Amino acid sequence: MHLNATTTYNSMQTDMSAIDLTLPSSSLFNFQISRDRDNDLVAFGLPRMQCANVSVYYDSKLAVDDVNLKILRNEVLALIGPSGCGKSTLLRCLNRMNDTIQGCRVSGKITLDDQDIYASDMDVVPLRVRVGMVFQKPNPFPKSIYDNIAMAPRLHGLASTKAEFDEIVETSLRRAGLWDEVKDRLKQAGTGLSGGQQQRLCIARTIAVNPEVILMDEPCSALDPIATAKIEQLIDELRKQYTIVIVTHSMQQAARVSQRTAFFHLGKIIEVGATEKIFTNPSEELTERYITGHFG
Amino acid sequence: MNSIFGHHTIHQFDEELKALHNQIIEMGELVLNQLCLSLESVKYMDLSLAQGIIDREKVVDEMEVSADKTICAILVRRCPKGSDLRQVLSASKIVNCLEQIGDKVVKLANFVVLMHTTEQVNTHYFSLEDIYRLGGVSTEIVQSALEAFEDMDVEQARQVVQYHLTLDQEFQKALHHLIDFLQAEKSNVNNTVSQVLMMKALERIGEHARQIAELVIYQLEGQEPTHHLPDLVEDFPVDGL
Repeated sequence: MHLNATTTYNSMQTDMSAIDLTLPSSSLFNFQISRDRDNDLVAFGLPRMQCANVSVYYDSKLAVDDVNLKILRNEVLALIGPSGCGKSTLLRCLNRMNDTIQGCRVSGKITLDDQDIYASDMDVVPLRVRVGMVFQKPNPFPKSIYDNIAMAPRLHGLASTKAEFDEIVETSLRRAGLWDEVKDRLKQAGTGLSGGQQQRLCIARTIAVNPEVILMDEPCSALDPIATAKIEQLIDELRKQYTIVIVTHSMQQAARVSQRTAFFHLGKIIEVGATEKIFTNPSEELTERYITGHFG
Repeated sequence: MNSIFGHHTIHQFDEELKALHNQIIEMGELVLNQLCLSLESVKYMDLSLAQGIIDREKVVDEMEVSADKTICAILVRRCPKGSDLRQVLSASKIVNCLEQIGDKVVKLANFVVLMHTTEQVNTHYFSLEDIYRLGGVSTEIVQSALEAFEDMDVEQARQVVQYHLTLDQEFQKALHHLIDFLQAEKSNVNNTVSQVLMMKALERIGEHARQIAELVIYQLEGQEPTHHLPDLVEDFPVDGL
């Protein structure tokens, strides 16, 4: 019997789509990557956040120059680029952390689910609940591990009984992969943990208020390789539930944890694309020069 | 080889990539030399030449091991990206292609040794002209692919991919000649099988050279080598049967 290769191949494809659940990378994304227009807002589908013509000034100095960027649901977007290129500035704009910096001015539009986060009636407190942040250096409160997690839910009235708080603390610590290590010393100070544990505590603290987007500004730069690996594993797990934007100087880390990568240079986005493409065959010469270590 | 972007910030990385490039050029030169000598040994049924080729295969294998170590070290130390990553990936595959060509060359040399061992040195029964013609085309393709690699010449690499089609045609032609020979009972089955194996080795050598050319294109332009699902009719061993 002669096999019809085309028919067989097509039927295999049909079969594969039926078992797509075994392929988390396909099943978890609700977007497609355009192969033709990688540099031009590559994502289709509903973005969680969107930056349109965003420029940021520190007094008269232009730090971010007319940036357009979509941040998609359940993706890890890595922002890379040399120091001073504006990636951290843009990150901080995403939950208006730059509001506290004197002389900082933001133009353009940043939306979270189509809601302008710089609108005059936008309250930054609930905004920062929805868009949480993890900083470069672990910064637990000088309180117990339990209180580090319970403080924000208490402030925002997310729980009222001790049982509810206990549940939030346990769930957050479990999601952050820290529960087994600290469950017997919840009353001890969070500052007594190791650097890697402190950073995971900060992540647990961030997710305790159930945010939608998590911003991470070089979260592993102060950690050893094992602690870094734990955080990266955590990022991969958190992606299933949250949208994550990470600024990192480690291109290896960007390659390991992200689905898309944006390369910044002198305040501009030079290229945005699927991480595999950015690190194997970028479209822009400047990106190629940066990732191959010719400058930066 | 100079990077189109000048030096890496870490200059040692430039040296390592250059060393890898040179290692492959050196291995390619040896393999090409082995191929030319093997065709000569077949032509003149030169036993000592054939044995020399078989002995030198060890050197080809050692060069492969050495290049693999360099590639491994670069991957571990530098975590290459972009064009650097493509260069290292291509290098790894090209080294493998060269080693495969070396193996096929030894098959040709083994044939000469076999003829001497079985005292069938009289090549009257073979249509060796087909072997020479096929060998000539294979050698040209290998040489051209290696030049394209050495000069990082994408146009020459594309020409190699095109020229490879000639080898397929020559192979089919030679097969038909052989069938005619068999039908005219001018050749016995043993000799015919030997000749088919030699022809197939030369066809494979050309195929590996084509892969080298495609890898040069991948390294320079990021264009993935093409893979065709073999069609049952096209893949049939002899055209028209």
